[in-house]
Amino acid sequence: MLRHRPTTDRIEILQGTLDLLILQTLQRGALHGYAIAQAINVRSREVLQIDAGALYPALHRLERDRSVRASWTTATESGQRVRAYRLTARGRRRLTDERSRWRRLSEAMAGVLNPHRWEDES
Amino acid sequence: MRWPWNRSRRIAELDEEIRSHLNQSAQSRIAAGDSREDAEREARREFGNITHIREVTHEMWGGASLERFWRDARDAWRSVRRSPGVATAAVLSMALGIGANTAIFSVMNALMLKSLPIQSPGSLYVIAPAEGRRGDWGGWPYSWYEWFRDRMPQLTGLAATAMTHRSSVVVEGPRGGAREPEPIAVALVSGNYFSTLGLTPTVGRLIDTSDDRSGGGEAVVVISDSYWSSRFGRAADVLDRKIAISGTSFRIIGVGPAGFTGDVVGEETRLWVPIATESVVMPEQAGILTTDWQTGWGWVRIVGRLSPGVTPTVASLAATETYHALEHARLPNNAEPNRRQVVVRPAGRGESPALQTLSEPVVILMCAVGLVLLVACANVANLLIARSLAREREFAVRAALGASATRLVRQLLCESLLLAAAGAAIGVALSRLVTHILVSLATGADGRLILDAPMDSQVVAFAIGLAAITGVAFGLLPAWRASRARVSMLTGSSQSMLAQSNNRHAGAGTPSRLLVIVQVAMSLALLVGARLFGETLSQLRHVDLGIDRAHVLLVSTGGSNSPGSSATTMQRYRLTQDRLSVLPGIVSASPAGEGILNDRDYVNSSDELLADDVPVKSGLQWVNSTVGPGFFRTLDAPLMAGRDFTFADAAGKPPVVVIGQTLARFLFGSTNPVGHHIRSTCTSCVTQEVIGVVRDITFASPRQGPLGIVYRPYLQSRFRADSPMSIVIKTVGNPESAASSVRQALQQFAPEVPVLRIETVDARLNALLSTDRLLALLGDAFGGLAVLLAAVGLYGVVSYAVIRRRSEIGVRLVLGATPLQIVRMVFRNHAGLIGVGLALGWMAARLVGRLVANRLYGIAPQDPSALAASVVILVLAAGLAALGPAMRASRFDPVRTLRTD
Repeated sequence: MLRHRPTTDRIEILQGTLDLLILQTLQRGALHGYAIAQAINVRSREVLQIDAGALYPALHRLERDRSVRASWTTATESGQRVRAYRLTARGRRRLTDERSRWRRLSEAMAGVLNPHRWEDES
Repeated sequence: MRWPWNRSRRIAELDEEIRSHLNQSAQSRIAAGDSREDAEREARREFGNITHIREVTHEMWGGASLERFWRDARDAWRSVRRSPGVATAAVLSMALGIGANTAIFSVMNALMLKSLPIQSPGSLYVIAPAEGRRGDWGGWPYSWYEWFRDRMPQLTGLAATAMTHRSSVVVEGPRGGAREPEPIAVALVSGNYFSTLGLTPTVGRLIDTSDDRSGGGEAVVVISDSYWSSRFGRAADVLDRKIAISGTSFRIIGVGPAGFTGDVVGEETRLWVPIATESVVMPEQAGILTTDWQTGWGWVRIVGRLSPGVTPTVASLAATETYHALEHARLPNNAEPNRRQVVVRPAGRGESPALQTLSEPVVILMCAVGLVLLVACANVANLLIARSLAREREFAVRAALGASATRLVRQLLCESLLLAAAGAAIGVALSRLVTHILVSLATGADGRLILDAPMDSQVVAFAIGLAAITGVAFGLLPAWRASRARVSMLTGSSQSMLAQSNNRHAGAGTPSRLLVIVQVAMSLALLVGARLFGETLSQLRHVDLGIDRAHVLLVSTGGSNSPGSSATTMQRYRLTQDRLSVLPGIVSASPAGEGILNDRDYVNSSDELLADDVPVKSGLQWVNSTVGPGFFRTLDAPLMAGRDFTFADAAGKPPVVVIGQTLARFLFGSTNPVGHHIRSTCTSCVTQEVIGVVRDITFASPRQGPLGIVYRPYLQSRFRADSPMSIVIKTVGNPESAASSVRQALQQFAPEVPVLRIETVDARLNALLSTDRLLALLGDAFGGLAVLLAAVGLYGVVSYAVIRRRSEIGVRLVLGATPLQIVRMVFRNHAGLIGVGLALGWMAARLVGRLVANRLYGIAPQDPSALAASVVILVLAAGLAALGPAMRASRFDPVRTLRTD
């Protein structure tokens, strides 16, 4: 989903994780596409760079699922017309689900990748 | 937001969204200190392939199959319009292929697939003898029906129905009065018939058990819905009007359900009367109700519903058991174990003699048109491959701009489906015409095949299905090629692009060549099939009928419309013979009982023959024929031994017979049969003296095979009060010129006898061979079509190959090759293609031969001359197809061909 850039230490994000990232980013308020990409980039300390070719299909897919709703507004900083996405109630529920799934996944990964804990418990 | 009209707005919105993204991105870069140009370029670079992202995002809108379809259809239409030549050729090929298939299918549908318009047709069954003998598709005596009805709980609502064609039907009343010009199919039905079929009337009521009482029955009639339309203009006051059948008035009590024309396919029943009125409807046939218990003669069909929980197998076993019990009751002294089987088989699709004679040819034709369609598909696929080659650049550009492979494939498939749909539309229109011709060609000797082959949902579904399958089939190859379009193809000229894709053998050449091989193979199979049928027809036409066919006229009359005794009928026979013989231009005339070349009323006797009271093991089918003195002389059939009948062989004198050569050899071996006696096992049959042996005459049809014939003099026969009469007449000159005077004479002295047909032997033979003619004719047509299509396909492939090798040919010409050498080279290069096609075709032809072996006569299924002739035709066609491009190649201007590369 991320464009592969061999010279940087950015990493590819897991399939299906982009939706979670978008939903999480939108939790604090409505944002347009570019702002979402920027927010993820900043919050991941520039490790996650979202490709537009993944972002827009994902946004439109979420819109079709009615997890987000889009409306045209004027961006505060540039005064330009932008298409802002906001979470719906359904989107919030989905965010909760995806977060808990992610937590379970990362715990499981940590368990496998951390041999000391594995040996302690066994 | 799922509809096409919202789409353009959404696309504009997405574009704006992307623009705004780019702006934001650029602005933040400017804020970070970049120049405007750098910022914008960098924003764009970071964003990626805009077209591709747009495409992928469109996909996400989903639920958009309809709008996607519109878009694809529109694109397809535009692209089809860009090359009208290819489109026309493709649509025409498909129209021919799909039209032929739809036509044959609609006949097959009407004959074999369509269910009768009755309640749950799937559970309607008929009780019939197991052996598929002609005329036995349902002929029982009424009294036997009663036996089955009372003893077979496996079938419920067992009903009887018998069909007769009445020439004396008169609608009485103010608008009526005139006799129907043609015989009308009247069905005699038992009282429970309509309730068993589960039918409801359009108007009035249907016949029920109260109308069908033994010992007379009510003179009531139900008319068919179509007869109500054609004869009464759907008048509301049709009830209680009278129709006279054979001189008796029948009261109309109702109109049958729309679309129902009886349970027999190929006939159109117009009137239904209670079976108890049989003796007044058929005054000449006293007694299907009563007297035929002993003889086993009858033409009642027995239909019923399979009882719940009973399988047809169980019912068949029960029916056979019931039948054996019946035979035991009928012939208690018959020690011979009866091995005849009775089956209970589905009747929900309707049964008929037409079904028996036509179903096999129709299946054969269906296979043939399937092959034609295959050839047509291959042709269109070739055309589209050639076109997709020309469009390779377009595809590469679109792929580079971000069109996904699926998108390209979808669009190309959409194009081919569009072509197929257009072909199907024209084909379906065409098929109506073909079906009409087909039905009229298939109409047999009796001229009575009434087949309604409508454009029903099944046929439409078939045509649509064909269009879809063929569209995908011939679109797949070009689409697959397009999906592999690469940006690399854009580098260099289009010429080198072609070279690039073809120098490797995986290029366009290979699929096209394969398709041509398939076309050649299928065409050869079709041609061989057509040759086999053509030869069969000509063999059958020239078969030795055992008579002088150049000077004989055959007359068929219907039953007289006035009742009379056996004696009056005999008198009329005598009168006919005497009066006709003295007409100018006529040598002699003789009554001929069932006639000759009569495959309709031909019923084998199931009884055994005894020669001098010694039973002869059966193995030879035999028939009775009632003829007059002079019959053999009239037909020029020579007596091998003994004498002809004379007028002295009359009632009261010792019964005599003349037997055919085959039967004589069968019964008596090398002994001279004259003076010996024969008798059949039937109880009422008397011993008859053989007075002569005659050379075999074709009794039923040229295909009949060995058949024993026993001729009896009509003067010693008992007639049902009136039966149809055939007359054979020998003329001095052309028999056709005597036809009108014969008709006049008959109308003069026997006005009550309707003359059905007066025809020459050849005309009668032609009518008998209508199915063979149909197969030969359509076989030629389909074979020709396939060869034409294959030739076009080959032409395309050779033309393409020649263009591809243009520079090579140029070099050869420069180096001194003569044009003839070039032509030879082109031919040589494609000879392998044709060879492989012919080899495959030879195998396919063997299969075809096996498939049609049953229908052949006088030619072996693997006849080498048929194969050789077909190969010659194909090779000639291939040569002609390749000649044009080859000549063109030989005239290439070497300088120009070398410069273009």
